[in-house]
Amino acid sequence: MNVPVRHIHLQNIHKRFSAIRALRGVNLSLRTGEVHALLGQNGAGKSTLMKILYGLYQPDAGRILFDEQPVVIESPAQAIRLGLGFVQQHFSLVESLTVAENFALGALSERIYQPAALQTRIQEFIDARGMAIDAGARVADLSVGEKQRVEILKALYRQARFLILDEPTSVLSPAEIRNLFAELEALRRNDIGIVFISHKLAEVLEISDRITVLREGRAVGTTDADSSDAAALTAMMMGEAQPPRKADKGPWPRSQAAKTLLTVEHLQVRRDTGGLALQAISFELKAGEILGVAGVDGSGQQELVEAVLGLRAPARGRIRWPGGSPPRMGLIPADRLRQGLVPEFSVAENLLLAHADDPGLKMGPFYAPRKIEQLARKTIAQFGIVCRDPHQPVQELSGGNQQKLLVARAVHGSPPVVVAVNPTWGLDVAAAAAVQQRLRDLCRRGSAVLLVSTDIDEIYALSRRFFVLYNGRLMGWADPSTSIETVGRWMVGMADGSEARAKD
Amino acid sequence: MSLSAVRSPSASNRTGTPSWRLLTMTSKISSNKIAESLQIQFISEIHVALSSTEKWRAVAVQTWPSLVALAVASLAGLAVVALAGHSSLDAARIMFEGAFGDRYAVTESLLKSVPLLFTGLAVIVAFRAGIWNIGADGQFMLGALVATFLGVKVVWPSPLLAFAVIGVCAFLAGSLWAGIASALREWRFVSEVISTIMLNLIALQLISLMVHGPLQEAAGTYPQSDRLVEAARLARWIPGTRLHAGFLLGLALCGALWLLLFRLPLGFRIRAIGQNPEAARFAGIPVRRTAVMAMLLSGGLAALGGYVEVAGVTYRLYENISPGYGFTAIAVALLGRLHPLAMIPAALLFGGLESATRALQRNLGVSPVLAEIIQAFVILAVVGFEARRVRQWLGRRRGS
Repeated sequence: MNVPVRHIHLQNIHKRFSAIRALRGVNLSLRTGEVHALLGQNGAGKSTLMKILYGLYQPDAGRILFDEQPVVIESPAQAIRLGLGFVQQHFSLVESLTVAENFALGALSERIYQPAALQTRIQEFIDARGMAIDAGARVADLSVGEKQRVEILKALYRQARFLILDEPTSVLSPAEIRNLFAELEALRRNDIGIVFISHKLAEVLEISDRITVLREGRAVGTTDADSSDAAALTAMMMGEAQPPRKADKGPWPRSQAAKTLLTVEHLQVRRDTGGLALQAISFELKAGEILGVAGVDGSGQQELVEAVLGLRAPARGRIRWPGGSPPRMGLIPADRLRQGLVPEFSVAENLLLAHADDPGLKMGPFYAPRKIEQLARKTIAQFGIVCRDPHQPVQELSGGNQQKLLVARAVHGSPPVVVAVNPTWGLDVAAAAAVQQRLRDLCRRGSAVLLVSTDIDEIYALSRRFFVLYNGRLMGWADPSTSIETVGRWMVGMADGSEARAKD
Repeated sequence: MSLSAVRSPSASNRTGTPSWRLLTMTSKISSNKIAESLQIQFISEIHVALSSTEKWRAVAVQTWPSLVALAVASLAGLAVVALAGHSSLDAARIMFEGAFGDRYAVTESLLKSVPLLFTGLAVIVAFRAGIWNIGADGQFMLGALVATFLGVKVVWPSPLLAFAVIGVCAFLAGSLWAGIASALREWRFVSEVISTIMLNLIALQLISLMVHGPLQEAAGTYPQSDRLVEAARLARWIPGTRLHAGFLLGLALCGALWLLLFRLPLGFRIRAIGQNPEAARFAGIPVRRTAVMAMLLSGGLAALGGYVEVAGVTYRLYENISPGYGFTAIAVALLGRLHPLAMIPAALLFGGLESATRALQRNLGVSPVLAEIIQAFVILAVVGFEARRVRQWLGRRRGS
């Protein structure tokens, strides 16, 4: 094909969401006929950067050049006109319509809708690209991989020259991933520019021409895939490996005699969409320890937490509690506004949420508002939660203060087991340190903490032993003396030296 | 309604007329006063720690949309009356007198509010749990049906026993009816909006079937039941009026529901699953079971309304036993901010509106359709002005 090469340059892009600096001066150059991978941990800024390019967000500073011409992309519609296509993780397809009708949405040229003609036209378009999709099929009847293909084709139909794929492999089976990669190869030969967002190292190395690594809102570097390797990329992703901090951990009460509070045996759990989210995980949680679960987001942590909480039934394997039934558990969930708090409820009511049956807050069968308020005031003071009073709705609190409230609720009454998912997320350094100290204190009093964190520093700082999850599998056990390179490799799916390909 | 109604007597410059006497009277009996004090109580419960000026500001902020809604609806309603060729001023005066003109008018207004108290409570419980129970009407009818059956076919030794047994049976019948929708919702993921509307239609036909068949009056003339036996009826509470004990039961249940929602763990759970079912689930609340409980309670409350209407007012069952109470109840509940106590003035207001529009029919010969139009305006205005809050309440539904 004789089409001119096109370029996009993003220059010095900044973006801030209230307290969080999502992007701090990122540069990125894209061109047609190239697969450019954006690699980075969750929260590194990959998706934010692409949403800015696609007009979903406006940058606070910086500019975007299309073929050296500065443009302001105000909406996705404009991005589409500029030749951009965005395949998000959640597809934007109308399930009840056919493939052809989805293509035509917002792009129908004729005044009268002629289904047969449209379908023929779209089918020709699809066939010309050598992809196997029936234009007359209802989207609801397609597999996930096929839906993704429809999204890609739809963007091409709208004359996209650049395709942004946000974690395209996260929803696919290994066979579908092979398929996708073959299609991306074909697109590259046809001079389409592809942005491939991922945190999976092996895939990135396989498919891309160039790789840009983002960390904490900065572009750490861009390299050619050929001249790079997993170790170097891991180091870029994780940052300077910090020396394991062994000091200041206080006494370690665990002894051989420590009581086992939770036994997980060969646990298998299905995810909502069907496949296995966890494969044969086994571990024991002992009184007085903080057991870490490391891994990049979406490796099965959420399903593990739900299984331990009894919210998700194991497909196989067992979860055993010493008393037979689960003890009182404290929870700091991953998604504080969806899983943790009721935004419209007050601080006091949110505190009550996890202690609804606490007899200390009642008089007879009724709640005693005075006692609840007292507890709330005490908690607010103890944890330094900034709010007007216990009756303020938590949706008016800052994210950090919401997080403090969640932590306070989880450790209230020293439950024997606390499940903490990213407990210091969104907290400043001092507040994070305070929360970590709370968890340590809790353990010193004989409780156990299951610490699930995507922040490897936090795992190293808090836990004496931890394991790494990748794609639902336990990659290995480690402790703070294990090198961060080893752990980093496990986190991206590489068992010591060799690549670990999950078999679904 | 109240704004223009209150203004009209002085505007028509007729001091000493019944309507003027009435005005002083109403401020004593005063659904307004009740409304005010309840509103304050409600607000203060949320904003315990606010200083008193802040409290008043909060009251103003919370109340103004309702008041604006009512004012807009009143004006629209009177405009319709004017369009139909009547004097708006006359209409306003007649409506006011019809609702509050004398002791009898006031008690009739209260009487008309009774079914709305029960169905309103039903709507509140369900909506608080994030469940769109559009079926209070059908549940009401089921309660009326069961109460009629027991009140006609059974010989009751004492009124108290009748009250207890019929009340419980009616409640259970409504729970069962709502339970069908609840089971479909929780286990088959059927939208409760659809299922409850369908169940309304079935309930309607069921009543039709019964009053044409097994429950038809012995005389066999009209499609209606015989009158309930004396012992099964509810006592009239104020001599010379039709106001019956069901009104007091309704008020008591408002208090009870307030206790449940704001002072008992079950009610707290109901509110939690309504606002954020996912957070409730992670906090260990059995979301499904709580939703079912809320729906059973909702259906039961609506059905009690049906029982009370049959045993307190009509004494018989006929096809049109509910002129859409279950739907008006939604407006009542929303106007009352889904709060069991703040809903009381809203129910009284709609009861008064019913009396007022009936007076309009009687005295001005205004078509009953017109009366319904006025009511519909009120409902639209309320829902329109409360739209944001409604969305907030119902925005976070499961599975969406």
